[in-house]
Amino acid sequence: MSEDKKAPALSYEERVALMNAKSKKGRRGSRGDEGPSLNINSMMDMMVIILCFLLMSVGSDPLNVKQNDDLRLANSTTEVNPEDSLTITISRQYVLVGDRRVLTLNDGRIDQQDLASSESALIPELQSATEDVLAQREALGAQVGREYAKIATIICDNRTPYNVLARVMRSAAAGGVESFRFAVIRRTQGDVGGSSES
Amino acid sequence: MARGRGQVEAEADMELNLAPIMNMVMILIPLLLVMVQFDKKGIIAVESTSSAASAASSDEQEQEQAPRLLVTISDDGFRIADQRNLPAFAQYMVPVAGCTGAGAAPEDGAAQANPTVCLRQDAAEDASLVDKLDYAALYNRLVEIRMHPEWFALFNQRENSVISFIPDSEVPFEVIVRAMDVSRYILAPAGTEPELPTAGSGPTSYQLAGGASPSEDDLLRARFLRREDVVEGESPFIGLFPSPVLLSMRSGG
Repeated sequence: MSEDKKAPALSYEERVALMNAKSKKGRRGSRGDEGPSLNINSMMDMMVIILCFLLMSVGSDPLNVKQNDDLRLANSTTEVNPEDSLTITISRQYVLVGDRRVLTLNDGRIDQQDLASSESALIPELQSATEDVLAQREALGAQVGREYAKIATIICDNRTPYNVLARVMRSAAAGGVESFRFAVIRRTQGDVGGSSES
Repeated sequence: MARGRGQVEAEADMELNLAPIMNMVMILIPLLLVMVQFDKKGIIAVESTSSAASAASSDEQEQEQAPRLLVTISDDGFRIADQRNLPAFAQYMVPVAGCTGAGAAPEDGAAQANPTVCLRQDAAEDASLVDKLDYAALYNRLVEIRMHPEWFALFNQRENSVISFIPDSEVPFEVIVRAMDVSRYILAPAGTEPELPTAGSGPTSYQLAGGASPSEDDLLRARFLRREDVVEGESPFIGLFPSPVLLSMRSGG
């Protein structure tokens, strides 16, 4: 009742510390002496750093190529970094323009029925798909006030025979592509360990 | 006003519940690890057939001409020719030492019977074409051409640094990339530090194995010759024939 009977006045921080101690003691008692709880703050810090690193690695790669048995890129000593452009993927099983599958290959070869004629090197499906994608990019560029160059990056399996590659390039050129790039895995010249296996 | 005991205790007990965030992070990390690619990607820029043809036709009007290289890739080796058919180029169409028919000058530049650079002697018979072709010998021959005193300055100009490739229809893409790689920059053979090339430099300092029969190992161990005074945005390496063009046989389509 009277102020004299109270314990000596504690500061706010001291009272919090006291409460913490009491509450921890109480909790331990109620749980049956489990010991100190795990501090996951350090682990959280680590996880957040790893998460940021991985998000940056995934987001900063303009060539999102997932290599597998059907698609192995060639190694090269080129110094040029990839840029954002239309991608044409040639694997052992299919040809993609952007993300759209336009042609099915037979173990890396084009069926004659997919060609415009037996004499022609043009693949009509591929040509029209390229035209569509370039038109979409142009429309998008007009909206955001940016001009997209008509460049195609060809992501090509390293076993693809040249007649397939040439037909794809010719069809894409007929569809409006003005310049080509080939996607490769970079290796360092003089680095003997990173030779031609892929 | 002093805070009540209950309020202080409640504040002290209030801890952020990190469990949901932890769960999300633990799901996101494996997902991103699967998506992330640790291989370093690059690109090789090639000229399209049509733009190369228009460049070639405009260059025809120039008085002083350097050869326009044409490398045919087939399953028996590389054939090197000059699209402009300069008389001085005939010496470089002679097959390299070790090739069948070496020493015989070709009768017609457009149709060489024997490859200029034939297959590797040490390659296994059942090896794939990419392992059979002699890229080191191709590089040596290209250096000989590049260091020709009369053409050296011309080859430094971008429009003359073009090299055209005509692969046979069955040549795999990997072979084309390797041929482009060896024709891109001048190399410093392993264990040597040659001076930067000039019109008077001979080719020997830049050739693998001093111009004699080079091995694949010589090629793999060589490093790009680097210049010190690099302008920002330019490559620090010395170009050999850094502008590749891909052509195709008319019949092959």
